Amino acid sequence: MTPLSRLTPATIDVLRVLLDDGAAVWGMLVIKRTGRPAGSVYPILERLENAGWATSSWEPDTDRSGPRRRLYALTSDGGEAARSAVARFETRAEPATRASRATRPGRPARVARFTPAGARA
Amino acid sequence: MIVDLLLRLLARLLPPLARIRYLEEWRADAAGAAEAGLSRRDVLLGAAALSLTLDRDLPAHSGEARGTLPRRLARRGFALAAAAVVILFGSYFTGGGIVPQGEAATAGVVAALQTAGWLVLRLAVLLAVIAALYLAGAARVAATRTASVTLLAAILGPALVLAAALVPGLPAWLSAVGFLVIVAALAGGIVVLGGSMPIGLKDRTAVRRRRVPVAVLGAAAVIAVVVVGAIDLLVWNPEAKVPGTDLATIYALMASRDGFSLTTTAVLIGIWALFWSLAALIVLAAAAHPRAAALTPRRLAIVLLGLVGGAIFFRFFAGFGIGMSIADSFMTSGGDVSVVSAVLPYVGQLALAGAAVAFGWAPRLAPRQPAPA
Repeated sequence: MTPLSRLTPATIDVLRVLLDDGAAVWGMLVIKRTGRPAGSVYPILERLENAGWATSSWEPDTDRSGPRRRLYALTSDGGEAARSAVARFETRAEPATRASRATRPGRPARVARFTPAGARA
Repeated sequence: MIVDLLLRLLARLLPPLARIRYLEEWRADAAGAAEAGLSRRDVLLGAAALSLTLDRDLPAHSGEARGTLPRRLARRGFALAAAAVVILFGSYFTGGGIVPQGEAATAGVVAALQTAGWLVLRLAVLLAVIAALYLAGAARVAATRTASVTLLAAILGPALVLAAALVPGLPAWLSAVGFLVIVAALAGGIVVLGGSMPIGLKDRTAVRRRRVPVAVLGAAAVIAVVVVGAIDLLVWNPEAKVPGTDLATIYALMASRDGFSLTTTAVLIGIWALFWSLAALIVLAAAAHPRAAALTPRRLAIVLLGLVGGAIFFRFFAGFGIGMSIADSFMTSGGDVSVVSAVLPYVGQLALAGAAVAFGWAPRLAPRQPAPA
């Protein structure tokens, strides 16, 4: 597993979804639960997979015909790294959120975007 | 239907080993987009983004060791750029192409040569554009920022110099900036090459029956150029420069008016002819040697095309004396005007450009592994 060159808020969102779900998640559900555009999520999933944080596999046999869905899950090392990355991100984001709330009341806090996806779904 | 077609097109932009996997994934996502509360357009945009950002140098995608892809792209880019530069310099040195004179230079011949010049110049521009695309591709997948910046500088520098030279109204200092960027790219190139981990070189070999035909063909081409070039310098070009006068009279007038010595000129041209013919024959002999397996057809082509181009370039020096003597004796220009003299520069430019491209298109280190199931 290699460290990620950059951990963007979108990457943290994707990591949260994969952490929350625990099991392998269909790529489209990752897009839906993060609320991020596919143009952002697809490259992130590819980067996580290439770096060894996540792994992907075709869905097991289903009754559905046609092309198979690709499911994504964190690797064991990737899971640990993801938890650590999310925690670090939240630690950094928290003071910024408080400052934002203090100086700009009424405006939505930027960190609200990074609340666990499960809470929004 | 249209979405599926576009997804297929986007998949074509991916490396072959990634293509099948991502196309199936995208098609499944598009088919189930409504189920996930999303639209097929989202999938299309995602696929477009991924096709742009996918790590093409990843061994799983490229089927090669990491670093091989950017090096291959850069090598091809520089080879194409070298080919373009050779042609552009050739065009510059011949003033856009020699316009032949004399009896053999019929209107049809002149028109054909002008068309050839037009085509060759546009070929150079096309090569330069493709070279820039290859270098940009290499910059995108390069492993280090230094390599990426160096490759981008290799595009930007020549582009600035060309823009300053060709686009009216642009400030002259742009050209100086362009040259500085080129120097920076060269320095960056040395740093990148010096600091790169070498990739294992594969011993490329070829059996004798594959080497010899290429060597024979190439040596024959060199000798043909030398023979035709020598006859042209001594016979066809003087006749084209002084039409209506037989060769013996031309030589006699040159001897009396300018002290021209046919023997000295013939020796000079003979040395030129002998040098390039011998070089071609040595390559042929080497290719025929049983232990010269490393002389693959591609490598032979590079050397022999280089010899063709070199022979034609140095013909200028071999023929300089007789050309000046004709000019001084008959008050004409010093330039060659025969049909052969007009054709040979194109042959030389294309030969050197071909050698550069052959150098850039080295075979892959290893064949791609089959796509995973």
